[in-house]
Amino acid sequence: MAGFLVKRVLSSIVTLFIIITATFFLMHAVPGGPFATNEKLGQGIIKAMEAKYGLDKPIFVQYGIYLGNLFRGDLGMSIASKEGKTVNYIISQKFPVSARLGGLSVLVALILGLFMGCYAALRHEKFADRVIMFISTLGIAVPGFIMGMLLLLLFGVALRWLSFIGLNSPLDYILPTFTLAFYPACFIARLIRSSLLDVLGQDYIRTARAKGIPAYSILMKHAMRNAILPVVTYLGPLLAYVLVGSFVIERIFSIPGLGLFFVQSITSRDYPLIMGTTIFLAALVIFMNLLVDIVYVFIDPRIKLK
Amino acid sequence: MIKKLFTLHMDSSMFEPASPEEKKELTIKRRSVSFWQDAWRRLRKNPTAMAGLVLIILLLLFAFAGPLVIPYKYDEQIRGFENLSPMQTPEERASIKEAIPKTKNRSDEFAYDFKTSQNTNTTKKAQETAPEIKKAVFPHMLGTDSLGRDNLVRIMYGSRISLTVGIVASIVILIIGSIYGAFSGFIGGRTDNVMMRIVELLYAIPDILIVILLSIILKEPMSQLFAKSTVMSKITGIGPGLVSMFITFALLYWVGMARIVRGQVLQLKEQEFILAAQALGANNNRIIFRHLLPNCIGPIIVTTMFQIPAAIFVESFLSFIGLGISAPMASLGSLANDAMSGIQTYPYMLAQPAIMIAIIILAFNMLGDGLRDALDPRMKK
Repeated sequence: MAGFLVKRVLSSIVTLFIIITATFFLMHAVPGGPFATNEKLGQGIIKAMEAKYGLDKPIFVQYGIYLGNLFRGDLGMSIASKEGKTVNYIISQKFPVSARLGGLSVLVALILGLFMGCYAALRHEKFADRVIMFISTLGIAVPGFIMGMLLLLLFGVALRWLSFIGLNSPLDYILPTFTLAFYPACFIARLIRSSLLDVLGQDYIRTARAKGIPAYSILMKHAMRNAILPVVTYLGPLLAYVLVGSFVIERIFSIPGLGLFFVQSITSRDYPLIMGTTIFLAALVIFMNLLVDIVYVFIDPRIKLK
Repeated sequence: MIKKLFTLHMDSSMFEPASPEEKKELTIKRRSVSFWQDAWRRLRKNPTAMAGLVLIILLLLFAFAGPLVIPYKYDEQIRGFENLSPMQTPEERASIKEAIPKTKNRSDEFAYDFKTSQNTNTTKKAQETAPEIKKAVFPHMLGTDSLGRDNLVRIMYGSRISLTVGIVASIVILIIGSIYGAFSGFIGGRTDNVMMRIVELLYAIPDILIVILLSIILKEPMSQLFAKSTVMSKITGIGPGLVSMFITFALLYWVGMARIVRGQVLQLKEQEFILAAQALGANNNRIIFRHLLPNCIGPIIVTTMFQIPAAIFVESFLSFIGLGISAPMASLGSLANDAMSGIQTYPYMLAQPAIMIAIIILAFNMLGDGLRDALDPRMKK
């Protein structure tokens, strides 16, 4: 167990380190520094600016400084923001908005997906099953942000039921949350349906039924414990999907979160901010994957640790 | 005559020639069915897959032959034709504007003014080329955008970009992934171990983040490269955005394909025909390219088929957040991005590219599902 943990943690750290290194050198491979586009600045000012942000030093020295700062949890200064904000500050301001939306979406996706999947499995080969399977196939095939646009057009523009700009009232959460949750919900529904069908055909379920245990507790106590395992493995990718999905969803629904800010920082070529956000999000995804792997071992004692 | 035990000592008198009827019974009456015929037969029985196939053919016609029919170009700006709704002519709009009191029309006017003032540079050019307002030569079936460009033609070009990206990217993935996977699986041992570590690493990286990063970085050197050699941009006609997108695909997305091919090769290389090939003196390259890869063709095709919609999705995603395709050229993602600003007044401009992306991705997924069942029934979920 300890060996597995150490190995898994180490490989996560190596992955993160490689991402940091790749990001750093990729960003510095771009011809022309961040100040090169501004023609009004004189040579002296550009020199002074580069000295201020440490851009005049050799690249490996810069890399060392960046790693050192990163180790202390400092992601550097944002170049484009005029007030000289740090990247840490911007992330701490913007991320909670995205996290709230993302967390809500994960919750909705799990509830909706589990419900749809269970219902379809229990009504196997019946009308309800067919309908749910049709919807979930469609939900997997059509990308989330296209779904978001169509939902926005239908409920926001055509019917005018919901507003679609910003997150000012609880009602504003409905469209973006549903958009973000729809694809994972469909995916979870399919996972649960197929694994539940598999489990429900096994002998121990028949034994439980023969003992006269009510159908509800067979499903919840006996079948679910085994059927839920694939969903646990999906939690890591689900989180990554929600994070990345937020880039477009926040753009569509004008939500002032980290995703929207990240997309805007791409256009303004704010390299420290792009780098900081990338590393932050990558670390988050890697950490969540690690967590899911560890939780999985605890939930399912049958898994042999390598 | 001593009958030897344990030998098959047989007397020829025990045999007699077969009668013609018996011979006839032994001939194979049904023609042998090849792998492809079998797959095609199974595919044809699947209505969803066939619908997907027909849809894809129609989409290809729409994207590649469509612009030949419509007498407008994707960057042709017609003055006085800005922001027409579908099938509307400027005269019709003028009459509507007269009929409605001015106060009600303010939001429309505002959006119109705002957009034209934003793009004064480009409209000036259009003014020079088109001094007087022309009559519509051909109905603008899906309306026009804020610069007076025909939406239908722009959507056709956008679909062309999407399809090109999808197909070229998945061919790139196919080549890199299958060769990498085949070599890794066939050589085995330490080489395999190292190669698969690299794959695992790429798998653990959140891919969209790196794709975004790469497209930011590649955009500038690519546009410089394109600015230098006009030949290149003329031949390909695709622009720097697309090329950098292909490079990102080539760098990141072959991983899944490599894993699948390696798994297949691991199974196949233990079989007798590989031993036979080795005994006959075939070298590794010949075994991989002539014996192993052709035997993995089913899973390879299915994976490629599912890569196409994935690539189309990534392209439209990137174009939507402002990366990817550059200005006058249209992609479905960038069309949707442009339409976001005028969503209240011109919602149909967002609906058109959005529905188009949905149809394209759905069609490829439908065919992909069918192909999976037809080519490799074991892969069925």
